[in-house]
Amino acid sequence: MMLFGVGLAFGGCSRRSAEAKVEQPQAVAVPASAVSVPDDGQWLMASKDYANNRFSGLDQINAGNVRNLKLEWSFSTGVLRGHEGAPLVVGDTMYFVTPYPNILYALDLKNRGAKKWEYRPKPASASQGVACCDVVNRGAVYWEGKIIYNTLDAHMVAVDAANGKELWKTKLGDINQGETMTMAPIVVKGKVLAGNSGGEFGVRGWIAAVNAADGKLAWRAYNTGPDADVLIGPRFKPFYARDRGKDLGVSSWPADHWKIGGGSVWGWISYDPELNLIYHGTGNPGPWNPDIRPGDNKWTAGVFARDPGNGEAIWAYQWSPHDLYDYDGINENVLLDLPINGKTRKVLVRPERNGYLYVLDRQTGEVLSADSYVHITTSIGFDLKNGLVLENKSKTPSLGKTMRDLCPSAPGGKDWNPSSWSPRTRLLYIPHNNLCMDMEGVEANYIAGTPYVGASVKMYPGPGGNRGEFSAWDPVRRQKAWSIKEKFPAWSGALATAGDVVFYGTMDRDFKAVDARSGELLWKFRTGSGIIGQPISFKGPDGKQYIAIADGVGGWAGAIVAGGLDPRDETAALGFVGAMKDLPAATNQGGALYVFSLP
Amino acid sequence: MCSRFRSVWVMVCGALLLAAGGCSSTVPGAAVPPPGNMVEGNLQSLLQPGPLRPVRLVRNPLAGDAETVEAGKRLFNQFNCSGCHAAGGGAIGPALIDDQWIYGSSGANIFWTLIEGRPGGMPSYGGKISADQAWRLAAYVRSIANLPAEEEPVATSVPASAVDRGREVFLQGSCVMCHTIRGTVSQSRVGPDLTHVASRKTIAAGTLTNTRGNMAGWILNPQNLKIGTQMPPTLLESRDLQALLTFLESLK
Repeated sequence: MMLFGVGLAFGGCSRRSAEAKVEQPQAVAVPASAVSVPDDGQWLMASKDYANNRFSGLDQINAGNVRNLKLEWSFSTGVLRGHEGAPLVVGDTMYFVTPYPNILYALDLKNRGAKKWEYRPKPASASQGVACCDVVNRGAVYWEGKIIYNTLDAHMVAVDAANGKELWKTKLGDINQGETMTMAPIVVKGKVLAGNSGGEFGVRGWIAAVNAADGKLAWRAYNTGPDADVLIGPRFKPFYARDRGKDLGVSSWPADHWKIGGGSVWGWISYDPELNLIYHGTGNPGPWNPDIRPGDNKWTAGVFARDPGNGEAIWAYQWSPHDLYDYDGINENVLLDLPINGKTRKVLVRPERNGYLYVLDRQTGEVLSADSYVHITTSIGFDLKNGLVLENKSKTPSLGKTMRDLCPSAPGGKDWNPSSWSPRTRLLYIPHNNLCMDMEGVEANYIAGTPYVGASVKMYPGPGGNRGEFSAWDPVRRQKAWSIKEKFPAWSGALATAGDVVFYGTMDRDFKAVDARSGELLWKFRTGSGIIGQPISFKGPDGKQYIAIADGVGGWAGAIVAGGLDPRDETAALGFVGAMKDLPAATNQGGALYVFSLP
Repeated sequence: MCSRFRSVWVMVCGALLLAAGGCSSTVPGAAVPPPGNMVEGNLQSLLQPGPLRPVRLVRNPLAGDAETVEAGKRLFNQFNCSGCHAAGGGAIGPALIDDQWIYGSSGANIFWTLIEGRPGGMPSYGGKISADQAWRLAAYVRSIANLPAEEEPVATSVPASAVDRGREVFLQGSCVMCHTIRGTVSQSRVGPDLTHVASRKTIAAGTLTNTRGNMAGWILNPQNLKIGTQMPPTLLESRDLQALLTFLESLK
């Protein structure tokens, strides 16, 4: 079976001689069989490839020898908040963006991670006060000699990859409106794509395209409001009839609420060069309290297919119309070509917050299947004909009423932490949660730049008591192949490799390698702090395969440690503290990069 | 830290830590508190250059009343404080029910944190909430932290420094934009000369008797007393207002 876009063919990394200038290679996405395209050993965007597969084609480290993996070097980032970022590897250099204050480090891979330079964008300190879920940053992207990333105070910045000089810096959002930026951008045809965070602050969600060459805004598409702002035009052909009609981004809200309705873009963007479409999720509607916003709240908690050239919407689909539980819709869209009913379909696979693993036709937005991959009480099944979750009406939260045993909880079956696909095992490796919650709707006052949530939440472990799980999912058979229970939410990314080893980290400080086919634990390494970062694999200047991961616990799940919160208040950190009271006993704050290889 | 000081008069250094009204040393015509004077203010530090000086802790004028705490609780939700501090356990902002206080836990510390904001992300609510609301919030925050309501009442006599503090309020605020007080930097002719305002029988172009109460109302909301007046309203924290009135009363 051909797999689309797993490998990106790059121009090639030049290491002809020590004194030769390193040619900064160019990312060119080529739809191809993952198995046949050799991995060039670099890691140029957080998700490795446009298809968001995060698969490393390197195979020196395999299930047979991974037990010998040794720490080669480590590097303290000097920052103690949640490290959700992925390192990049370009030629002989590793780049890493820290959480706020978003320092960019360039480390020399020819000299065991020696610091080449650092760049400090100095984001506004006040931006920390409008970051809902720790002051994280999920990574940078490399493009034509530049490292480009977003800063917490809603700027996008381009830095010369050779020397750390700032090339341009563009303000994209306003912290006084509650906007921050935390996601890792991607670059498509010279345009840097990224969106805002702030769904807990009543922001109006958008995705923007910025010219990589000069930092000028090329287009911006809002995810709420009139069609003209959402960039819905004649080419917009959503699959389901309920999504057709004029200005639904206005009419599916109470008067003017779309202006503060959320639908931010803080997760992942995929790109299919053949269809020339980008795919991005949209965040939760605001406030969480659903009584305040009757209607489907378009286009929040959904996914858009857009033309990357001008942002025009091609189709849209809402995972959770009129979201009741903060089922933010921003997770990764993994682009695969899969045999569905005897036919190869171009699909988008999405482990969604609401607990269903969706397979969509990525040309049309049709739901081909949706299966629960976690314990669910908030819905009773999926109506495939209409492409809709069947809500459990007895679990609808409202003002002043506490609704109990809501599963999955607000961070969902799975939050932002990206899964990884192996074309060899044909399994999707998903780090996820097993959490439930009690939720009460409370008053919500919109005051710009302050939280706009309107819910009191307490989370706790789901059935079995384990709060996390690492699952291998077969999207064709529509079932789990195997899974590993974790004490704490599995809040790190996953990395599948051609050596049939899968890597992920735990919040209680283990970096793990498991057998891609069986899930058997093959190796683990105890880090200084809990892990919520994204593992990567690369080929070093010496031709060896390396694995890298950042530790540094935090994020929403780890806020109790990163923010020093008080466990006596179970509603702390939007209710996550209730489920994480024992995390401080398992880990302290931290922040370091670790690089491993075989002896 | 400051919160631990139950008594009004405590020996804390900081003769050079200036009153909450602001730093006076850079303003011509305003007095630097002379060494030996007691210092009032939002102390952030116990570290002291020079000998210890007695310090007057600013007390919460609304402290000690259950209704104040209840009102503060409502305000805590209405102004979305709970969005960042949850029920005191914290979220975006730090926990308030633990015993760690970055910017101090006295009523005045909390008051000024609310009004001024803090660099790590605490928004400035100055101009968004009234002084009374800030004091009620401060009282509520202390209550959830299980801290005593506030310091004992201060002496009712006017502190010697009140005139100086009132002068600072005048000279550092917007008053100087319009008024003259001879011998100070305030030399504008837009509004009346106030050099001898305390000797006048009336204010507001003869429409109001010159009493402390009328002056207070006039400063806070002149339109209420004389529609169409050029005098703009001035929002002042109650302690600053009282000091300003005392200063104006000294201009005989």
